[in-house]
Amino acid sequence: MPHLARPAPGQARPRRRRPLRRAAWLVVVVATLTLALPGLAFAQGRATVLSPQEPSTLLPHLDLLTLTHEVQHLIFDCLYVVGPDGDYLPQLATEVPTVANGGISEDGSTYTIRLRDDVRWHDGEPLTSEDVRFTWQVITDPDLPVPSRAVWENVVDVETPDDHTAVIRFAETNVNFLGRAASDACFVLPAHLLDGEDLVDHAFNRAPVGTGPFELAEWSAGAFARLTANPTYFGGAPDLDEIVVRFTGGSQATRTALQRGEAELALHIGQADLRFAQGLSGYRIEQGPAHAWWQFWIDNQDPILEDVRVRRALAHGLDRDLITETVMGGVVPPQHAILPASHWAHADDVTRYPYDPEAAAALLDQAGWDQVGSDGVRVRNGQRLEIEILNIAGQVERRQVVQIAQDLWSDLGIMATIREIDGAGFPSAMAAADFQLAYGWFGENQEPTFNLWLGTNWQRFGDEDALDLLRGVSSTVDRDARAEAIRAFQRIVAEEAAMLPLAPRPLLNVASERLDGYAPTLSGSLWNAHQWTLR
Amino acid sequence: MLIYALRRTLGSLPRVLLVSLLLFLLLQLPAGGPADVFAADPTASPEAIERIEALWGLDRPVHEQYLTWLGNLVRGDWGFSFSERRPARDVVLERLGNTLWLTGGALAFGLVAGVALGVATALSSSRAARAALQLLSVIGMSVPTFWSGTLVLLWFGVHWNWIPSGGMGRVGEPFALTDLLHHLVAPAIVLGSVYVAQWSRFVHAGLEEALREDYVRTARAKGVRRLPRVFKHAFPNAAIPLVTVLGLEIPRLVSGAMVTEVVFSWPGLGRLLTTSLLGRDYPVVMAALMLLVALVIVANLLTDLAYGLLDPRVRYG
Repeated sequence: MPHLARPAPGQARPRRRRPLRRAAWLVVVVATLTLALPGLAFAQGRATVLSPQEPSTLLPHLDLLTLTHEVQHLIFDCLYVVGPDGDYLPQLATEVPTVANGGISEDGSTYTIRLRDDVRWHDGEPLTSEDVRFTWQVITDPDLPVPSRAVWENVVDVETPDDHTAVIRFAETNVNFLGRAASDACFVLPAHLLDGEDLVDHAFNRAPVGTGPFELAEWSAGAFARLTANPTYFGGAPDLDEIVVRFTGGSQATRTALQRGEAELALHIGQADLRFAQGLSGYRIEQGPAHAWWQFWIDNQDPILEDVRVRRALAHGLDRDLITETVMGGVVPPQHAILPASHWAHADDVTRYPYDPEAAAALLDQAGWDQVGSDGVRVRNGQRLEIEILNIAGQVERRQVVQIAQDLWSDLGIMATIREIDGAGFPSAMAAADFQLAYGWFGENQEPTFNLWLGTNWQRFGDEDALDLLRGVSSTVDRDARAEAIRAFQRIVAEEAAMLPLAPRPLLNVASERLDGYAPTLSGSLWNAHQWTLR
Repeated sequence: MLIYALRRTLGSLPRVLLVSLLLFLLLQLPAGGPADVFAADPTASPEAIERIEALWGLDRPVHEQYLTWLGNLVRGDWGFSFSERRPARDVVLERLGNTLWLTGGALAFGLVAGVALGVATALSSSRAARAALQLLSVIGMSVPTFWSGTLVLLWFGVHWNWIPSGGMGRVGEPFALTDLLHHLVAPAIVLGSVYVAQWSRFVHAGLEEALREDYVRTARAKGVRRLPRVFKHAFPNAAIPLVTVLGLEIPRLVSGAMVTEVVFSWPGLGRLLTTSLLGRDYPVVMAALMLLVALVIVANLLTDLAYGLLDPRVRYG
């Protein structure tokens, strides 16, 4: 019968199964090959920098993120920077203006800046004084979301008598200009490309043109930015061919990349990664100065804390050495004045409060908190000594510090409780005086503006005579006289224990032993990347 | 079927509106706003923060802000990123593809491994195999990806150097599929392994039940061999519950990618959402969340449509 001549179903089946088996083998082979591909190969002359965060925009002045400024330093230049010894270095300017060299007027209201004549933008156009004038206009443009216009908003006019001279005029003495022009608000913008343009949504934000040693070649959102050397850089052609900034997004990815030796530099590692980094071979830990420090704010008008004896007791009861040696990894010393030792106006001779529980207890007794309840908490006129510490949630080391403080103060008979809130809510809580003690950090400028005392004054410090010392600083042209006033103020704050400084907060970077020329300053870690070499 | 799909989509609009309103209000709850992120800087004065809030329209009442946002969305304007100074649409869509690669890879791995494991254990009569599957399910469902991801990175990335330390490709090289796969393997397996455990149990249970059905016995009596019996006759019926679960799990897969993306520095939507939330970049947060809402609706719709393909008895009307 004809149908018997057809192959039986059972005979056809093995043939049908074969493609499946072949596909399975293919998958195995491809998977093995992909997995077995060697690790990343390094391009010659490439330095990889790990950054925990990604710049939001590369148009300068629109972002306050320190890591954005780091990347911008590769592409743009400043009039001045702060060099390794803490002094100003000219970058786009030929020299740092002083009263002596005629760059600053006697009354400190006019700055004459001579620009280098050999600077060109990445598109070949020369840098002119018009660019400096334009930069001032951008920073003070009311339609742009510029987060900080400090100092620049006081400029009355920027005159451009010739292509390489810019005259910055203030209505009155302004001693903060140099510091501002050397800080994050320093990058000069190209007027010939941006004048008259809508900068809010501009292609320049992600395809910047600067004067700097590197040019942006590629920006892969969420992953990395690749920058190639600018061979005609006025400060000398970079030795490196390119710099890759990888946005790791977290400490785990940073650790993995460092363990695999994939990076020459890791920027701003957290305290939690310190011990790990100390154990890495081939790398060293570098502290970038930041003029920033950790402190406990004290509400000086709180019914309990307005008593200076209670504030001094808190200061004596805080074991700063214990905290810096343990939680902070032993890389920073305790801090006693309200400016860190890295700052030129730091006062070393302030009243110190060494850890002394007995002295602290005696001060509390004197303040009337001399009764102790059955639960060990001090009592005065029936009121328990209860103090709340405000902290920002989400960071282990912060909480550890606050918990150590809580334990130490509890030993004195103070019932200390911790309240944690989200970071973005911290300023409004502080401004509303919705705290007694609060833990956080603060940073000051190279030329201090004392926003902590003259601006926000969250601690509600009311000594007007002391504050007048600070108010006089901005009109004092002589730097030594300024330093003396600032130091006098630090002595008063320490004497009054109006604030509890704890320790400096440097930026911790991990640098490869292969990397030469790396010199972090207040201007950041990448400001001199054109001088870097790889061994 | 097209009319059904259209009706379903239109019918979900009120829910989308409600969800968008809830999300918008939830973002207003925590203290501090987008401009306060700047306040940590000593040089940003309270006046500057007020000025920026006015520029961004944050000083207006919440209902006004919501209606403006909604009106713009309807017109195709997804808002403007506070931090990146470009349309939120660009910011979000740039990352969507990357997340789809990761979730697609995880889905593929989860499906292939889950089905294979489920079928193998359903066919095996060994009690040990069943116990092993149970154990694997418990482990798979309870081990969080931030832990398993870290372990995978440590072992395969650091100790054996098989996989890259993160990202989607080699820096400065033109796109290559093998390079992408090399970067994708580890995060996809980590993300997908959670579902292997779950899905293999569904396949296992469904198949075991289907194999006992009369039509399978009939097929056996007619002389159909074992493998075609399992895959042609029993499996399609066993797969229906899997499709339901799959439809429900796809949105969770995308949100689950958030953690995996952070561990493997994968430049996807989840990592964007994390940084935007911390930076209070509300337009980007809303754009990303609305995209996820759309994804949930589409996934549910596709699930319902897939029933029709698997089960000829289902009619849409």
